Amino acid sequence: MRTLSSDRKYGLTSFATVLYCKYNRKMPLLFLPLCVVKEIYMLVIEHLTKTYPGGKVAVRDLSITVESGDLFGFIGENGAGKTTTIKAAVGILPFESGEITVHGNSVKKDPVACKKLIAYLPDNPDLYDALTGIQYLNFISDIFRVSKEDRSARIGKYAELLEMSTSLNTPISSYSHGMKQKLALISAFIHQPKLLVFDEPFVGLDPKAAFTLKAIMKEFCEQGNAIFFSTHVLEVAEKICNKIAIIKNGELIACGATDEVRGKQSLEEVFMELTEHE
Amino acid sequence: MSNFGILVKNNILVFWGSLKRRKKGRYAASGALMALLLLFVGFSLASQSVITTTALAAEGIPDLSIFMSLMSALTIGILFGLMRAANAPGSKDAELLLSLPVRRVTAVCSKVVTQYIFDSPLMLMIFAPTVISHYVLGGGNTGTLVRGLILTFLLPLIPIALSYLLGAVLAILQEKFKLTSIITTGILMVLLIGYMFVNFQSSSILSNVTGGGKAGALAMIEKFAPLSWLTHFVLDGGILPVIFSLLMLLVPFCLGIWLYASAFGKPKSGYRSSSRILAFAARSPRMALLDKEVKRYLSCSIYVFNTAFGPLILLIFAVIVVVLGPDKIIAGMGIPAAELGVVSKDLTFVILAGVFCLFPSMTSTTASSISLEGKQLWILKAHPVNTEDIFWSKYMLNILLLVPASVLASILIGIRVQMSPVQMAGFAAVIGLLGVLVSLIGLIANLLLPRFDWDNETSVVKQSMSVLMSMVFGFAAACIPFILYFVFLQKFGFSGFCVIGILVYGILGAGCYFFLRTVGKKLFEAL
Repeated sequence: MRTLSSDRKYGLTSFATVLYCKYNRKMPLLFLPLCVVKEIYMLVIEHLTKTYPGGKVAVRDLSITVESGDLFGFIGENGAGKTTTIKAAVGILPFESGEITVHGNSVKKDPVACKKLIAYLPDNPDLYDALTGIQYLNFISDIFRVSKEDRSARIGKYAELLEMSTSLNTPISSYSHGMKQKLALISAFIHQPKLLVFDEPFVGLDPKAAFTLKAIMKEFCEQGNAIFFSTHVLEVAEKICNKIAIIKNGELIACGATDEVRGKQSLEEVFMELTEHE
Repeated sequence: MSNFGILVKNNILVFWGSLKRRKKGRYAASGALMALLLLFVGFSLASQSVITTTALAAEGIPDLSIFMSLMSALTIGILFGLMRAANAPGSKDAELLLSLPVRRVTAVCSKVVTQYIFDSPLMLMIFAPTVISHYVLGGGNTGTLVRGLILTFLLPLIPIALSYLLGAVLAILQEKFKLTSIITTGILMVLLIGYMFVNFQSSSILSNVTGGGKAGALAMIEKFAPLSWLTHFVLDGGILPVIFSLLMLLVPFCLGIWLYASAFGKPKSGYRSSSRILAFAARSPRMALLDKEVKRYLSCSIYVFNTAFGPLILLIFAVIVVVLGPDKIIAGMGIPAAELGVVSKDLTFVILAGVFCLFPSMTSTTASSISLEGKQLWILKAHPVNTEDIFWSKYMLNILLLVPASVLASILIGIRVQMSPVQMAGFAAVIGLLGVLVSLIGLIANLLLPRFDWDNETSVVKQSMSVLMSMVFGFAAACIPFILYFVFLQKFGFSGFCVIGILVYGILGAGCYFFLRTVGKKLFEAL
């Protein structure tokens, strides 16, 4: 794996996260601010290993830390383990070893607390065809207990930005892939999550919507939140991400600040070099 | 091989592949089970044909066997057609096929022929044995045999035509109306209930005809106009019945294919609203889940079809009891004591409760509700929803369907048979609790045997193992209080039955609920 300066954080992160989780409520009040300020990361994946039935190891000993303000790109070839990692991180997929914490909460021990802080967007959002767009958004708002006023304001804002306002009363069954993607995106922002986990968010979006999404993502991270997303569009990752991780055959082969990962080359060249030679 | 042959072969391979996609271990078992089931059905139908023809030949009216068999074939065919129409027949691979150097007509014909290949075995099993046994046992001539066999191969056109025609109508509705799924379900329900009513009427006419000899049988056959054409097509081969029969079979079929072909590969355009007024209504997560569950339920015609019949028939049966009186119902069941007026009131109540318990025991929306989440399961898994709330929304839907119908039916029956208020409450409690128990059993069955690799909701709602398991266990659970009553508690009368029913269903229900909260929760999280 490529050695990068940000790797140094892992040891400290692991130790402090364990410490924080273990003594979350019992720690003397004096030490708590120190730990909170120093060690609560948005997403910490430590030594994650996931094996599917049949013995295929999808992800092996993978560790990633996403900090507040990070726009973290996760890239890799098809079948490299990106979706598996993402699904494990959002609590959809059980994993046998390793630990994943979201803002200090363990995905294994308290999945519901983690999910309250996350918004997840899958690569192919299959939504409830029986509902209209607004019914789906109301459903998600109800799950997150978003007040009537807040949901109205947030849905209005993002529907306008993604040009979905006129389609929300229409059944989802008649939506195109891009419209479903946009609806899932709106639903992701309804409860003001701290961490967005997106799997290929730009697939199916028209150029205008993709441009808008990039702007929304940047703004979201500037507000102190974080985004962890997978993509095959290396130009986008290179342009908007401050951190990048590259995965190959379930193992992390590079991870760190975008500038450090690519060096003087383009991200595409680095990716090709790493995936062909490692 | 021609393009047509390649496409038909591919369609069959796709079907085969969809069976194979299931877990490897189960594949061989399910294949063997399917083969056994086909053999069993084939053997049963053939035996029934031989027995019926022999009996009717002894009465001097073997020709009636052809008529009866045609009626069965049509019943099954129409049911198949209706069910398939509910899924708005279309081809997911239409765009792919049209992008290939294959003529449109070839692609469409390959689909129709594949459907024919799948439909014909059942028709063959229903009608061919009767034609052969009529020839062998009923003194039929060679002409009857040949015409009968020709008709056997024409009968599968009926379900195909019906599904294409009705499917085209429903597709038009989908473009025009927002609540299409509910309209579709309503139309299909009305058609099915109407058809069941007509079929019930015909069966009752049929049961009275055997005493009238050949003349009576022929007179009765003439009453069923379209069916009589087909019967005469086989028996006499007269020019008019042949023309009418062919017109009846081929015209709707050709029209159906024409409609199917004209829609083949065209993008489906659903209803689009132009309203920009958005309704925001905040509810608790539980109510939001239940609302979603209800909308999901109503959006799937085949789901409603399969599960709304229990409560519906429960109410219809209650009305029948109110109109005819309990004595006629009990006499109709072949309990001779009822005719003599010696059936005690308590026994009447227990028998009625037994009949009414049959309906909830076989109706469970929960048995397929987890599987129906399909590719949308990620929504429940990725959001902060308590598993208990998900379970609650699923069994509550079934309870909402069953319990009000059970209570209403109990009140109707109670008033008609002059139950005391306590007896009426006991009657309602037994049936209502069974409804709750069946809901929980269905959910457990689906958690143990989920199926997410479906392309078509029908395969989940009608053909999944969890539905079958839920029906078997629901029926078994329904029987327990009756067995206990007739073995140990008869001296306590109807009150004894109510107490044991409430106790048994209550304890079993509590056990199932505990199972769901512990093991069930883990099973769901592991999905």
